[in-house]
Amino acid sequence: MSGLLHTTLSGLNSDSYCEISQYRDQHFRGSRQLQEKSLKISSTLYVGNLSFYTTEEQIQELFSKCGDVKRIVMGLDKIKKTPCGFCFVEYYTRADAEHAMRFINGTRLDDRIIRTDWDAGFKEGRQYGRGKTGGQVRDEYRTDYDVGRGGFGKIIQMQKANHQPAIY
Amino acid sequence: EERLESLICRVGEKSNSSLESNLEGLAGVLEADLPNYKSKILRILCTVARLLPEKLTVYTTLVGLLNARNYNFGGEFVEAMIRQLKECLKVNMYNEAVHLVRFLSDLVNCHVIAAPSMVAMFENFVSVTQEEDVPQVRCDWYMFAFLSSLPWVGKELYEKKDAEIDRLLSQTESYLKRRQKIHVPMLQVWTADKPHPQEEYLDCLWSQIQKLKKDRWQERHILRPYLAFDSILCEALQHNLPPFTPPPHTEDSVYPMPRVIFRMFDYTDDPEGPVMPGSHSVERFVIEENLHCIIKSHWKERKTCAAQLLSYPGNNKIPLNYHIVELAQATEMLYMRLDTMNTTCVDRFINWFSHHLSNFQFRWSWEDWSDCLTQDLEKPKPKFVREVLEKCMRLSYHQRIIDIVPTSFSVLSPANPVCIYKYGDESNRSLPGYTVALCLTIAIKNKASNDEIFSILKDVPNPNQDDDDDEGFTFNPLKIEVFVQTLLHLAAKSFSHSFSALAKFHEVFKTLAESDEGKLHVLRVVYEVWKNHPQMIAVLVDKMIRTQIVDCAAVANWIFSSELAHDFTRFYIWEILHSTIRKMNKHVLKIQKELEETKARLARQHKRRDSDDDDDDDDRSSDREDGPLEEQIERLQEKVESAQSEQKNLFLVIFQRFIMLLTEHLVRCETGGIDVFTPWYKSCIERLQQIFLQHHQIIQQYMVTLENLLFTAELDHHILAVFQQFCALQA
Repeated sequence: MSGLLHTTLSGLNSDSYCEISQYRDQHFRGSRQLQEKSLKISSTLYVGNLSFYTTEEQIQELFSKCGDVKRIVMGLDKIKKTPCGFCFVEYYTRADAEHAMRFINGTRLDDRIIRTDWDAGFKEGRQYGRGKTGGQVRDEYRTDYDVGRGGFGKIIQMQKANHQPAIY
Repeated sequence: EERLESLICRVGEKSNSSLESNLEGLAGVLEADLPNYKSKILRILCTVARLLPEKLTVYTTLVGLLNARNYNFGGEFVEAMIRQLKECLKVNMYNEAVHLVRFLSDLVNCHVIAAPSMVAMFENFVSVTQEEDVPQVRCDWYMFAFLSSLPWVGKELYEKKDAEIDRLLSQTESYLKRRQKIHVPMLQVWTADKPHPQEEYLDCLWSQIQKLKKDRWQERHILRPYLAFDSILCEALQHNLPPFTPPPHTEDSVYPMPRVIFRMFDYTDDPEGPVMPGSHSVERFVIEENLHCIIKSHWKERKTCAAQLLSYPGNNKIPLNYHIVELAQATEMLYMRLDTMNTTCVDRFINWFSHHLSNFQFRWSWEDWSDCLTQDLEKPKPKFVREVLEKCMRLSYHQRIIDIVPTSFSVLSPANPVCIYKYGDESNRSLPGYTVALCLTIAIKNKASNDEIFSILKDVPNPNQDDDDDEGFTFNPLKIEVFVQTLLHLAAKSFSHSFSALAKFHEVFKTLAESDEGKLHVLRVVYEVWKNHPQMIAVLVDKMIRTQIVDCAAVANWIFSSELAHDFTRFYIWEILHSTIRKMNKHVLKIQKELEETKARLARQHKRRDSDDDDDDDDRSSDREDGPLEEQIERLQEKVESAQSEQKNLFLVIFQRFIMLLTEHLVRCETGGIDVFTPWYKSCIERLQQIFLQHHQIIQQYMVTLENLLFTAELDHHILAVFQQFCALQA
């Protein structure tokens, strides 16, 4: 019986925080297969549910706890070019990014629970929100009031504006 | 097959049936599968013995039941375990090996292994302490493997072979008396012995075993499922362990380093409820081992890990949940003992506490710590609070920190992280270089190229030179100052802006910082501009190293320079230095890996050619194929040597500067008749220790050079002691 030390137990290798999610980028250039492959080897994370006021410095400080950060790209409103509540964090190694998925995902930054997810890799243009009004899609449709993300969702805001009682 | 693995791995977990009936059921299933799956089952059982030490007694019981049903299988299992143990020792997997030894010893309790043969194995272990010319850490390990198995099997072995065990224990006592403990001060968290002594790990274990023997080997904490099966198991035939000779010490052997047992709680810290086992009770040892195992097994799954810790079997008999949950109490205790806490441990406390606060809206009763306000700012407690507040600010923003602390604490609040631009004000127009700075500002705003920048900078006089050598870019501190100040000021808005600036004007930076003095001066100017924003300094230094504007040695020299003396004990300085060292280490590893991979490619190429059936007489074509790869290997070899040399030089520079700094202090104190042990001195000497401990693997390569060149006998004994303690860790 050779190489006893090489035997591992698949049950023990549970690493659920590092699994890829159901989300697939609709704008990804390439097959679903390629996207999944990229997600499984990526060292880049998408970070969501940030406040519009969260700074690059805060993100750097938090994510540096898991390893050296190679690059942070702030997500921007496509029209206003101001932060719109998400960013990309790229590490030099996958291992460091995995630590972030295990230990930073679901914890707080700037008092908000943030969410991290694997990203296939930053490409120019992906730093912009894809919502109709320039921010993230989720901020178009949400119905809650979120002080850190511009208040009510955009559609609700417009409805409120349209329902202004006529003054004259 | 997967089913077998799953069944075996999951036994012992939460279930509707009792553990006993699950074990019995599983033993039946496995016995039935033996004819077809024997080797698979052997392999899985060996692996769980190695990888699931927290369930040790569950699996020894299972093996016991199997052995009772199938004697041959029991024998083959024992043989496989011995093979696995030998493999572990060969490849320096000593932590796993301890688990295997413990497993084997518990198999005595399950009537699989005969007690006398286990005693014989332990006799061979203890006789390692008689070997000559071997590192103490080797003897330590075999001693540890013996002692740490006794909580499980001490009772049984003593009942059968009391004289032999007594002999072994007396040999243990004399070994422990004569072994050296120079390494201990370097590993202790606190320099004080009160309220809890920081014991060396073998001393602590020995005290626990002595007490266990005094208690007639009664051990109450370990879960022992085999007791329920006593009637079945005692019918089983036992196997004798084959005589086990510890593999000899080799050049490649790397033994575990000694530890100091970390204690911060005792029974007086628990309100009501279950009593904490004393520090010399064997239960304490067993519990701590199991908790370590749980964390080691489940660290990737934080929810599972937490659940496992909180559902630890027997946790209603010990104050486990209380101490896991009562973070506020733990924090308070650590704060109170800051004065004697090792600097590296204080770092970790700062990091943990600030991170913790950031998840709880920074709520803390700061007034409870107002005792620190009356102390000198360099003392550990106020220093700790300052560093915590600075870290908290990094995770939030300046005004937030001002808001969360009482006004009395404002003296400890961090500075507003704003940039300091010396050419900013009209009132500064008399400064040399002011007009060039203005010019540069306009040019950069108008998207000037590197060449345009160069020509603007030509106008800057060199305060160091009388005859201005126009063409040669010799070291001109004023040029560097004007350029770096202006650029960093323009790019001050965010990290991204600054990184873009570094990238865009990389050429200018490289040229200005070509010489060693140039590099040092760039770093100085970065500090002058951003001294209120240590985080920005850190990321800029990181970028400049990665883009080769400065090198690691320059950063090291800058950290020890007189300009930074005021910040020398601040946490961020050491974060920068250790990050720099890590970059250097990773760089060397990267090139080494490239070299190995290219060599492997060449080897594969040869192999492919050799296995070719073609009788190709054309030797020249094979040479041609090899050529580029061989060239590449030669180039990489040079690169590796150059990188390794740079790495060694970095450590030598750091050690040299430490020695100079500490010697200066010691001489000054001696001549002035003042006490050496100032807060600064404690910090500095512990920072030196930290270099050794944090990068010990690399530094081990330089021991001869260090001993002959730097840490010689003429050195002050205070400084030499650090080196000697480090040497003792692997001696």
